[in-house]
Amino acid sequence: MTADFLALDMSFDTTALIAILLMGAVTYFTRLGGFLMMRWIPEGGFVSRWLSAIPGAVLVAILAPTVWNIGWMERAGLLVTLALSAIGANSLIAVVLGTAAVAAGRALL
Amino acid sequence: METTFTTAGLRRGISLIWHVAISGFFFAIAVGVVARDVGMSWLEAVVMSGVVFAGASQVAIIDLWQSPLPLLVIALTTLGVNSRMLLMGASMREWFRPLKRRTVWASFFFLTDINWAMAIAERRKGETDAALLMGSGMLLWATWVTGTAIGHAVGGAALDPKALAFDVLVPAFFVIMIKPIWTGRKQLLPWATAAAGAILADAFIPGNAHVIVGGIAGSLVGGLLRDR
Repeated sequence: MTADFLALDMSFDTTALIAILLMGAVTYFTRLGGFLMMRWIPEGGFVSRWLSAIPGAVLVAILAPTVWNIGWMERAGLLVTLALSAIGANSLIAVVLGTAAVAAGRALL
Repeated sequence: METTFTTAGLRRGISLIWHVAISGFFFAIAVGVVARDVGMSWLEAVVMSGVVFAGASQVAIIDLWQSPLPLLVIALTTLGVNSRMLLMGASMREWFRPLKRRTVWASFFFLTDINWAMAIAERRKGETDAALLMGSGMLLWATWVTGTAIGHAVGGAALDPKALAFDVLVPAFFVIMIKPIWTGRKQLLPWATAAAGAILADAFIPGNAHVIVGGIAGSLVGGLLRDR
């Protein structure tokens, strides 16, 4: 390693500090806000069904554009993971084999 | 279902997420590298990762990092990119409500997409220990900050994780949450709505709007469907 590597830039601009704290506050609000807001939302009926539908909908919403945009090899890798997980394989094994399939495919093709 | 919060739960959270932390580490290195490229100091980049701890929004504001810093635009962009976490927090209502306020406030600092999904999946399998979220989040936080520090220090010399398919590791991790979160055919319509909404939003709106658009659309459809 060069001396350049060790010369870490320790300067801190005041506006940068404000920007970072602002980002931190906004982000923390989004982390905690949804949970706190639920205090004012009544229980039962629609709200219960809506809340229990959030995890699935959010999970699908995270994954769908990725699956839509990636290549066929990556999709095949994710299918390997999904199939292994569906038949009850250990989740670490399912993830590693799916990822390894893509790495192998990339190395070969 | 009951709620507990134990040190054993913190440790179990760590053991359930360490493989994701590896890919998060490489992503953090990349964030450190680009932060250096836009002129952020090492200390600024490391403090940003420690305080904000939200990858997509950090990448989004790096595009805006110039002199003078557009504070309002930075705040609004951060809100837009991270608003999806409002939905995730809301979905934790039943599990976290019995906990002490400071436990809840500390836990939610460590909420990210991946440990939220992992915790919810465990909950659906019958987990009571809410400390899973915080334990896993603490490991993700530590690797995130370390990765940023290393990335900024080494700069462009960072390695290429693509050959090892680390870019597939995170989606693969989300894929294994599908089975525990799937509860039956009643979810087909909400999930299809979420997928369509997310793909459309991803094509037309920048940032992470696809998660909130698809998540709201899909969950509302789920809420409107009556139990048969």
